[in-house]
Amino acid sequence: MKRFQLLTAIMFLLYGSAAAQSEGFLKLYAEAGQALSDGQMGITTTQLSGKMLQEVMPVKANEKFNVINRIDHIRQVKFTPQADKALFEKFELMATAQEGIYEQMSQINEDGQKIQVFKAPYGTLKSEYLVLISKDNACLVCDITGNISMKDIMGMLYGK
Amino acid sequence: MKRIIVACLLVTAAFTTGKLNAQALKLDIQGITYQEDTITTNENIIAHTAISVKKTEKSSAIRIGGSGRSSIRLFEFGWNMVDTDPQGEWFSLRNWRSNQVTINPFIFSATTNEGNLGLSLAFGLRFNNYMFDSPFTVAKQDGMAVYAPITENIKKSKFTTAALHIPMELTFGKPRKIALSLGCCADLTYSSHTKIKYHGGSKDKVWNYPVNFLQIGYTAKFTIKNTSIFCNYTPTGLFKNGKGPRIETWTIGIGI
Repeated sequence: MKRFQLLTAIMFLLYGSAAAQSEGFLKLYAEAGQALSDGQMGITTTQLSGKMLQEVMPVKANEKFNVINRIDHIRQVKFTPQADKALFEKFELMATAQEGIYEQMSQINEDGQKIQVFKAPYGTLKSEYLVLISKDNACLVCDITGNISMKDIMGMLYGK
Repeated sequence: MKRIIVACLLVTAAFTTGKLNAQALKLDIQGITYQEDTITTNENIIAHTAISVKKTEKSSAIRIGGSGRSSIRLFEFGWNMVDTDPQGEWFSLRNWRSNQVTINPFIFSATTNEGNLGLSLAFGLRFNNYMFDSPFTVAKQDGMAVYAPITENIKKSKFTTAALHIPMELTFGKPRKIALSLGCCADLTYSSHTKIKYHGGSKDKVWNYPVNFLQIGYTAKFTIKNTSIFCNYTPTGLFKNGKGPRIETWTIGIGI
């Protein structure tokens, strides 16, 4: 019985570590990449791993519980005011879809800036946060995965 | 004594709080931005279309940190030797069994950005054992520490002190690679006792001898890959002036 429980726990952990960002997001992120290849102007995609953050911030990485030690991946798509916003609207639709996996955590409208934060399950004891920001016709989609909390996201958005 | 401990804890808390509150990642309409781990003198922001890195002038920056860049080690073990006045049988030691143990749980360092020059400070505890090589002990007589021979058959006789240890060192080089440090330390001695162990298992302890509360010492240290060899010299007498023989301590040891 103990062996069975151990195997189950290992399988669960393996599943957890293997789980990736939501398929819907990755599909739209790939679309953004395709738009770039097609020469569409004003869109920029960025992908960062937690390890890269630890490399560039070694002192913070020494703090065991610092957020950069708990981030797995950051993927973001940035739209300049001149860019086509159809893709950003697709991200917004995916996040707010009734049958979707995202749960809206907050929406803050301040000084013409709109910030929406959505949360989805990710791996074991981890979360995926999708942050949509729009201001003055410029938009940003940022998806962060890892062992992070809403407090971490708010810390990044508004500081401590 | 309590005031000293409270003051040390407050200093430690102030250091720790400042460190944990630092927020490095920022998320706004410009995307994720982060700040490199240096203290800025002249800030110069180089922006990418999606990610911004705050580059800093590193030449004059000082890095504040913990034990990573410090030459003071968490654990130190050494062997005590003494210079006594008057000389003679009084306080003659078994040097291999006269040990000094130091634990430094709170270590702070301020180094140049390259890490070639640094100043370290620590708070810890230090225990000194002086194991006598012949059957005698230290006795208290009219508030003085005096030589007292033992007539019984004893296994060992020793004198022990415990102190709050505050070292400060100036380091040349990188302790992670190779470094030379010079410094001083203040030992606030809060306890002293003798211990006589007899054949058969029974033992005697006598506490509170007239030792100097503040003992100032000097340290020279050579560090390779975070392992150090040190030599301490404490010119401040072990006992208060006029309350016992003048005893200066030399210690040679290793730190890890």
